[in-house]
Amino acid sequence: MDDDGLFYGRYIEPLEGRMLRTVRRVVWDPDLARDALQDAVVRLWQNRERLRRHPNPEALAVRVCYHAAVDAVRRGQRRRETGGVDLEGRPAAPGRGPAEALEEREQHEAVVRAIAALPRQQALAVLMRVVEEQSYAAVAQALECAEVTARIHVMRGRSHLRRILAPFAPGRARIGGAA
Amino acid sequence: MTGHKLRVEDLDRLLREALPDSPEAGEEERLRPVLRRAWAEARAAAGSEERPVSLAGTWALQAALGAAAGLAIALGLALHLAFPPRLVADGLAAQASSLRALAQLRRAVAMECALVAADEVGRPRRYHVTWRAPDEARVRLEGPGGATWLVRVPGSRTGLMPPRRDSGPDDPRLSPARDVLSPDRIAGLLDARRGVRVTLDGATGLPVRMEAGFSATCDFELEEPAPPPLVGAAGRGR
Repeated sequence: MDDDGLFYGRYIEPLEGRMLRTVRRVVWDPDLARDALQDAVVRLWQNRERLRRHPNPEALAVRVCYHAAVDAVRRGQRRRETGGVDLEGRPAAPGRGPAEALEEREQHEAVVRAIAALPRQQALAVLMRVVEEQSYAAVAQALECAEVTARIHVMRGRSHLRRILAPFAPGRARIGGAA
Repeated sequence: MTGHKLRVEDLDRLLREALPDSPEAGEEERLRPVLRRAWAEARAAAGSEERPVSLAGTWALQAALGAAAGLAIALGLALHLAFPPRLVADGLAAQASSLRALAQLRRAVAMECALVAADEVGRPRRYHVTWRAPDEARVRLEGPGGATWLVRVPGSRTGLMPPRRDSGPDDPRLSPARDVLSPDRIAGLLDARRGVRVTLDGATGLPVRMEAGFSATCDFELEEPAPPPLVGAAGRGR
């Protein structure tokens, strides 16, 4: 096995599940998810030396996957706006009816669209800290910045999302979805 | 949007609900090949030239190439100084002149040479060589103790043959002239290139002066050019 094969086995293979879940958390459409994963892998290939030296390779891989996922969502939005594809959600969870599945899908799309509207650093910080409940230290390692800077990204991202997703406040009637 | 904001707790709950970590059953196994295929394609697209190379290896290679380049430059400079192009061209011109001199010597039908050489005790002796027949030359030693020899020169490479008069073949007084007894012997001297300095006549290409442990001045008589063929005249007469 050559160096690149060894590299995959040592650095990428242990992260496969994490990468898949990271992308799928944001991208529900199977085709877009596949595109995002391919995009993430190519970026990791191009940055494989950086990944090798990174103090937290998993954090770097997660960052790459979230960026690729958000980029895929943006591409999907553009294609849908031009009538190219219809975003497909995941199947309804067991025990949920079609109406609930539709509401779940709309909520997901609204949240993803709101995150895609954030600057990349803020989007990543919010996803890691708020959604995954990672530590600020892990967020800082993924962003390759100081921990205090990671906190600022989380705070600003939250602030933007609170405004964008205000229609989802409990008790408010949503008309046409958020943002 | 009228300035209302979602509460932080509500936002965090909304985000977690909308972005659950709950992939479908078997989805991971379906997507793993996508990752591996994408990695293989990235490798193939990048090609072998993008393989990571250790910095130490790179510097070692660069140092080796630099040393080789420096050596090549030094060698080229040394060769240039040792054999400048002008000398090479001169050498080629000398070769052509030498070939022409040899060809002209074969056309000689008569020759006279005045030769000065040191005898066995270092005294200068003057010789006069007259060659008019293919296998015979007359050598006259001038000055005190002078003598005249009639020397047979059969072919072009034979040594001195027994003289008809005055002296024997082993007379050391005759030996300085042995290389200029005939045009063929002079040609042999030039062909052997035994440290002979030759001055060629610009018009005829023949050697007019030679120095090789002796100093000789020569004068040649060449055969007449061949008459034009008569075939054309005979043809025109018909």
